[in-house]
Amino acid sequence: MNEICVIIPAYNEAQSLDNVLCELVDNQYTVIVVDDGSDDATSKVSKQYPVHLLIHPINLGQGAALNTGLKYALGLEDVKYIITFDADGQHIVSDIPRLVETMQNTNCDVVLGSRFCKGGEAKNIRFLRRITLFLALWFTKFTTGLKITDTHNGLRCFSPVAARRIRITQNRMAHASEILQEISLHNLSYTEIPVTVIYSDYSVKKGQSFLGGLDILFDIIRGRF
Amino acid sequence: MSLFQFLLLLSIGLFIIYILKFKKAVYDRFFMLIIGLIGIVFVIFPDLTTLIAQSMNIGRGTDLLFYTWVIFCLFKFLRYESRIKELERKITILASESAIENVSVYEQKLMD
Repeated sequence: MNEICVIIPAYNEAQSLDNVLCELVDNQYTVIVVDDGSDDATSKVSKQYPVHLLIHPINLGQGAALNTGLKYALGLEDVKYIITFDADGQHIVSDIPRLVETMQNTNCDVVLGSRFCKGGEAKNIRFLRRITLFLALWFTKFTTGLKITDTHNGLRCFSPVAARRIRITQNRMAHASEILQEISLHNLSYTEIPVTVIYSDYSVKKGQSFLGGLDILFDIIRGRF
Repeated sequence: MSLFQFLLLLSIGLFIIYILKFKKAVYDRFFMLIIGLIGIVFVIFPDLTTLIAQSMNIGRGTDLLFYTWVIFCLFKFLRYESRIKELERKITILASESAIENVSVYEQKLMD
């Protein structure tokens, strides 16, 4: 069992998952795929690789899939670094060792990937998406006080201590903001590193719209009550 | 008594029977029964709503009923929201535990 465990929440990602898993497995990471009730070949593709495959019987949302993955990862032996990684091919595998190295050097509980800090890159990002993320950043800074530059990046590294403390109750996309709120609430040490996020036509189609961003905001407010 | 009053009383009567027959929680039974009985009184004595409204500086009896209905609906909405949230939470836990319990690990498949 590798001490680096990568959790991939996946919903109908058969198209992109093959390449993602191929690269992760080549690097010999412990890979956990959480199939969030997909109705395509996501599970079938996953089973072709030496991964731990968990399947939700119904679609619950990325937050729920991540939560399942974290719970499972915490039960594995020898895991010291828990990475969350998107299934749509937006993240690059070579950023994983940089996350781990940063955690080792800084002893932080959480290392967050950022497209927007110095050295980070968001290739082919649409203008409206940038605006949505800017608004999310402002909201998160206001509600959590965290000094970060990217609030909705799925590439993160948790220590087992952080993974145990963080409670994800938001099933859908508001979980990203909730994770940051949990970091703030539990006073977990964190840092950011620049990473690259690649926007392809496929990933843009699957990503959040501006109105979807408003839904997230509504979910966060609703979750507080 | 007009036909409409009779139909209203019949509806409230059926509502009370439904509450007593199908609602088990004491709180639900008690609260809804009180609402039903108040409804019966207001149907039989419609001028009473105006008297009560005027004593509360609301104006018309229909306004009083409308405002009360709005508050009641808001309360029910919040209660249902809370229940739905709780149900979603339970479904999530069940689905998550089922996924973990039935994990498929590649190495295990090779050994089988």
